Amino acid sequence: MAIYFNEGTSPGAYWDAPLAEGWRVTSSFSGDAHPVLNWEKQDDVHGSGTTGGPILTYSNGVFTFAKTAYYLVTWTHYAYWTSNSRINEMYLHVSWNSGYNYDPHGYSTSHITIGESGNNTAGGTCSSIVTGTPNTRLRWQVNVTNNSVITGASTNEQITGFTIAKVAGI
Amino acid sequence: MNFHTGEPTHIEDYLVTVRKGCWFGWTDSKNKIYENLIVHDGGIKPTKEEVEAGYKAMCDKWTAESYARSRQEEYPLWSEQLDYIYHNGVEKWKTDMIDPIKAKYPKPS
Repeated sequence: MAIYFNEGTSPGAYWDAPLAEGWRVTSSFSGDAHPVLNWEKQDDVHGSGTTGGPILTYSNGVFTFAKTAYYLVTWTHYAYWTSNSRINEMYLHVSWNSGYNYDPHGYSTSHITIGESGNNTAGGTCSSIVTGTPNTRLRWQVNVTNNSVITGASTNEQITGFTIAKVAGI
Repeated sequence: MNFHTGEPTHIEDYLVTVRKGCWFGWTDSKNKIYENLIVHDGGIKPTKEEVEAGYKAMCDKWTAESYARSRQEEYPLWSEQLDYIYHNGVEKWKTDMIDPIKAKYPKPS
């Protein structure tokens, strides 16, 4: 299912474009990762934007915009482990020149403090506005102070991942 | 893995312990079997035997430590235990609060 926004009085190029997508990491991993790999578009029966072409295309940890617009990106990092980790961060890096250079654009952060036996979980969420053009690239980085911390992921649920939605045309 | 309990449920739970980062993936993420395992970092792909043995060891460890998890769930809160020690002493704390739980969930020999 795609989410459609009314473009106003004159339906334009984006009238039929899919305007929201969900992406998720399919495989858990421990420690740091840069870039984060193993992404797939959310493919649950209740939704991902596929009609009319994608917002993003993906290859080897890097996302490229197929539709020029301003977008709201919201991501969640699900971390867990059996001992403390002061900092668990998931960075969004944005390139404005087709991937030659990247700037950190925002980061979610959380910490794990041992409370009970077994796993202790932590979740970080962050949102950021991104100008998506043909030269824009996105990639993610995970940084954890306890290198044993596991970033939880799944191909069946949105555990660690992001949603992206168009908020305005350019 | 059961994120809440930590119980291993899949070979991926072993793979995350082999190396750090996104070193592995799957040719079909909906079918995470060894035959679909791919390596991203140029490192050595563990053998199927190694993966199966590593996963089995994790499951065995999980099962072997079930007594400890059961004990921990039944021990009173620390505040209650400290209050009991204050009023009754350490020996009574051991015999009244701790030993019955240890006996209920004995450590496998």
